[in-house]
Amino acid sequence: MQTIIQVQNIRKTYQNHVALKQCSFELKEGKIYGLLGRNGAGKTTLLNILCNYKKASSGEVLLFGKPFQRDLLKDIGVMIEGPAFYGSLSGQENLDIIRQVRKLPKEDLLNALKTVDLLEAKDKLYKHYSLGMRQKLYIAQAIMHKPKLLILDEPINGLDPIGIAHLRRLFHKLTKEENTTIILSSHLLKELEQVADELLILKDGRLIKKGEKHTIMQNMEQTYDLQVDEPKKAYRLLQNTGYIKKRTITGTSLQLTLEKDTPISHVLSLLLKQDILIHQVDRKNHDLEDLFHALLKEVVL
Amino acid sequence: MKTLVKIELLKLKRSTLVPLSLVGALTPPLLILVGLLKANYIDQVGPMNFEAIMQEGNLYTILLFYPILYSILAAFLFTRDYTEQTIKTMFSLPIHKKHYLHAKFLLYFLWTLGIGMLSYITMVVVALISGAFAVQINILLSQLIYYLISNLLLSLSFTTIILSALLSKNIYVPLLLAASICLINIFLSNEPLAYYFPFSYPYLITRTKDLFFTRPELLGFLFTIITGLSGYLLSLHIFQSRDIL
Repeated sequence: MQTIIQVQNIRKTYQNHVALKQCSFELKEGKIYGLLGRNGAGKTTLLNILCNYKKASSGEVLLFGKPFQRDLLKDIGVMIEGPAFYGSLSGQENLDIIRQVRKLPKEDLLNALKTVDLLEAKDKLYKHYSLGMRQKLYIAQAIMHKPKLLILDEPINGLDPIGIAHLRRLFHKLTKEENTTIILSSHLLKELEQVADELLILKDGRLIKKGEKHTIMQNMEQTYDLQVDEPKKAYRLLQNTGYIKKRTITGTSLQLTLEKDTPISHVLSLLLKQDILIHQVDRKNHDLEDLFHALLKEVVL
Repeated sequence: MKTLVKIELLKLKRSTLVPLSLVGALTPPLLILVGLLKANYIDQVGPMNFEAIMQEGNLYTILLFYPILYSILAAFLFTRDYTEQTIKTMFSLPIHKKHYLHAKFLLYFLWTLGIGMLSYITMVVVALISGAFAVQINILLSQLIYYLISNLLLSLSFTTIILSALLSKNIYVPLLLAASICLINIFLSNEPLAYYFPFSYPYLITRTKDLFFTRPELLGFLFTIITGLSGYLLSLHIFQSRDIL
């Protein structure tokens, strides 16, 4: 699998503020990467550096194995920080500017408009577009030339549920059929969870986690809800076993957060040996939102 | 480059710059027409000399009106992508910064040439309507040549205003500078120092008989060229070395 982006020790400083600290990672072709982090974590700065809107203070970025050259943008589609087009031009005229620079046939423009369901509104002036339509046009300009790499910052802002579902299908289609690499930053974690193959998590300008989404999620702390006949006894028994990180009682229910690498079978056999009847065991399924909250609380993932 | 200039033109479709430029090009000649009609019919001074009318037109345009008009043009062309945030859309494309800026410079010079020509033709029409006497082809042609050189030098000196637009990324600083230039132009009128002020000098060319032959004219010409080239080179350097966003 070809490496599309190689980032080596990049750092970005603005006067006294360090926006990115020694970030290094590689992105492979045909995958969707979700970029995650709080406001000010450095996500947009990182995306700005990847598409050369800003230069890194130090470190190196290689795109398709080469240092940045403007000609590499032929294979890259970008949408960063909300749509921006000329208000006095129609949607089609705005896209025509992009088409002419990219030297594409007119057919590609119409296909892009059709893909984002904007064909009927193509002659409407951009300044009269709704937020959702503007966002769709922004997506159209990013995908019109069938790029090998798509850099997208908050692409679903302003889209309705149908538009979001449509975009989700488009992302999967691009990665499966065109082998496009997509790097996607969003605050809508549920969406990111549905589309991303891998996650990059930034905190205070530092890349603190990168890997397969499922692996990262599996490595999260395990939380169980146990229905037992003697919850208080069970609660006392589990004290100082080294298995439990956090435990609480609610009625006959015992909520347990296990220490890392502790299998639930250890806990269950301990309780059974002490004649505690277990009626039900439920594992709480963590989602990306839990991961994100854990991250904010600085819990070791 | 051809594509980029074409795109710059397309960007101006339905923009306010087109009617603004038309109004700007036509305002000085029309003001002169009003003045001439008043002189003819109210003050009863009678028709004026053709050359005198054209020179009055040069005063209104090159010295007083164009600095404001060209600064608006420069600020609009060079800061629009910043104010409308379309700079990020443009630079997501494989465009070289140098080519992008050159396309804008080229359009700026062509646009100022267009404004100048429209003003000049309207001035001739105004002079004819007012019944000017001593209308001669040789005066018409020599005035046109001096006017074109003068307009080109004024456009060139305004690369410094373009520089201020690129630095400030807004229209206010270029406008403030243009207003200051107009004030200085008025302050320096009829002063020998006017030759050494690059924004006054282009107007003085239109009054000269022996272009570049005298010492102040030659120095004024050099100062204007140096100012224009410095504005252009610094604009290019700053735009190329700075982050896009």
